[in-house]
Amino acid sequence: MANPKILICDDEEGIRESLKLILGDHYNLVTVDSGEMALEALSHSKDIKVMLLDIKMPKTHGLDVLKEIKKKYPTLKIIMVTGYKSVETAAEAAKLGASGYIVKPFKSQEILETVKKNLEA
Amino acid sequence: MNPFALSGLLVLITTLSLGIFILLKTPTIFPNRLWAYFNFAVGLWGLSAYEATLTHNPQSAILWWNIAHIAIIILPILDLHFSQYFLEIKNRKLITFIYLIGLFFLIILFSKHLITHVKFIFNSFYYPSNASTLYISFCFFWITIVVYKYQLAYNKIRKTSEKQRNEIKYFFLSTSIGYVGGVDNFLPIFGINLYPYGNFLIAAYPIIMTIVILKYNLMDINIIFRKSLIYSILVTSITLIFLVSIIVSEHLFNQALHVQHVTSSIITASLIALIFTPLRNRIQDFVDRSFFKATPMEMAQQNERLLKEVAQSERMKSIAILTSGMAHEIKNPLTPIKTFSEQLPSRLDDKEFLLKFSKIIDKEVDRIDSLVQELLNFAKPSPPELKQINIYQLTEQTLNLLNNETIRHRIDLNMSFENEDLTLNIDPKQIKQALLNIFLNAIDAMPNGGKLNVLANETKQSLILEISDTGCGIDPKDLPHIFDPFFTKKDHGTGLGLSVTHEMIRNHHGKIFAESELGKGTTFRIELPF
Repeated sequence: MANPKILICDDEEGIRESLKLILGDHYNLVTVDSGEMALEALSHSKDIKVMLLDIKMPKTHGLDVLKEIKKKYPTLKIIMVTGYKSVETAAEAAKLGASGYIVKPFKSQEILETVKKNLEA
Repeated sequence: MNPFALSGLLVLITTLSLGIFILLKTPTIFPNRLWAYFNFAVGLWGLSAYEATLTHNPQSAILWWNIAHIAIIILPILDLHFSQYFLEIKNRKLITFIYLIGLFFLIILFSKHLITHVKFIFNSFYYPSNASTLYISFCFFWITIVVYKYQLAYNKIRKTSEKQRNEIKYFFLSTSIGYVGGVDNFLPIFGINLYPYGNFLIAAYPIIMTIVILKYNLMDINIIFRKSLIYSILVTSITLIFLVSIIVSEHLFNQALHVQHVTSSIITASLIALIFTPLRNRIQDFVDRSFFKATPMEMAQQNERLLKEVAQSERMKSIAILTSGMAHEIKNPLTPIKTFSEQLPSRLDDKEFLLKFSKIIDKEVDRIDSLVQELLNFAKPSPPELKQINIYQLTEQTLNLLNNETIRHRIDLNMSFENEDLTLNIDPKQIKQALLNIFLNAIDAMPNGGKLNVLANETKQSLILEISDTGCGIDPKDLPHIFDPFFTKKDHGTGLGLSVTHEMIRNHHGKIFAESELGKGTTFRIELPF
């Protein structure tokens, strides 16, 4: 059986490369650098199960992207990734339907476990 | 001219001046636009009252009273709509409902069912005469909105901070003066024949409102516009004095000396011309003394508690912005460093990994290093080393640094300085950096070409530099944050550029402001004192 497909959306090349290193051996990865590209990727790949989404991006804020994507793909599991965790943002993300919240710099194990948990749910 | 017509004319002049002033200075802020429209509605009332009470034809009076009622219907609605923003209470459904009732009364008005008859009163002019059931229900609607607005303000005052409480109090006090005067105008319609002198109060409220705007910096209207405002007040005052003088002198000269109208007007105009300069100086002194040049001691006494409150909240806000910005900027490069070092022991033989690892770590460490340097510059900028510098040449040199960029992006440059020989006591390095950051932003905003204009003119106390581009503009919701550290909408950059510019201009005791319209461009105004 083919590896499950995961979408990574982050404007930083370093973060995308890190997530590729951690998840690359276990999953089929699609990486994009903006919310707009994420929407496009989702429209082309219907089999994406989990998405890792950065909150602070220059063009469109991660929470706006989350809202937009959840509207179109309500069953997609979205894990938010952020450099600064505030109670307000975490609450807002949960309200908008995020199923996980990871703070940078993250541990490889933490990423692997969260993605696995979301795929099983 | 009868006193009521005169009051109408004064209302027209004062409200029109305030409305135009607000609209010109803050055209992009929606609540301010609402407040300007409110002033125009009151101005329409003034014009109609003036015309209706000067005409000797009852049909013409009916027409003007109908026009006056367009203003009467919409003005409390606009006021309530604005007050919702001012008091930060939003109730869209209610305001839409009130607009619909207003529309209903406008339809009744246009179908000529609200004002149908006029009566000749005070031996002077025609006034609406019929207090029909419809008219009574309209008055009930009008008063309910005004009372509701005050109820909202009262509730807000009880819950808010002292600074905001004062703003609300003064704002509502000034509009109350207008409403008290306005209610007086309804009385003759109901057969209570009291001369509506209260209309003069409506003319007074924009003047009080202007003072409140200046004193409390309401509506984000900045003191940079001081000069234009002083002259607006000046022109309005002179016009008022001129009008009153003409009427009084016509009366006196005609009765006592039997002199013709034109002659009396010429004599009065000459007198006004003679007193113009001393009057202008006095008004300017008064406005300066009252609003801008209070001694530090006076300022401290008046505002000590308020300033502390504001400073504390500003400090907390800056710390919060700085902390979250720093967290993001530092944690992002730390993440790949952590991940790559975690993976290193199991991938020691993977050459491709090692190569990538070395490149990424090098890049991310450089990034943290330059961020720390920028932060140090931002947090502790070296004190300016002041020298007498030709500001025209400095601006030109700074623009020359960007020649490649402007040519590549097909950007037309235009520099226009009132005085190209002007020298200022400034730190050339800091001002160059401050200008460079603005120019770079302008270039980024015009990827497909455009115009970059740098204009400079002088006031008595300072040089005003206006840097405008014809780029994509800044979203109104982002505009208040452009000087916040780490605020950026670009793919590259740390979001510190404009914060640094702001800090450097402040180091020179100057000021910087930005105005922007989406799709049209942005203008930065820098004020550097001599």
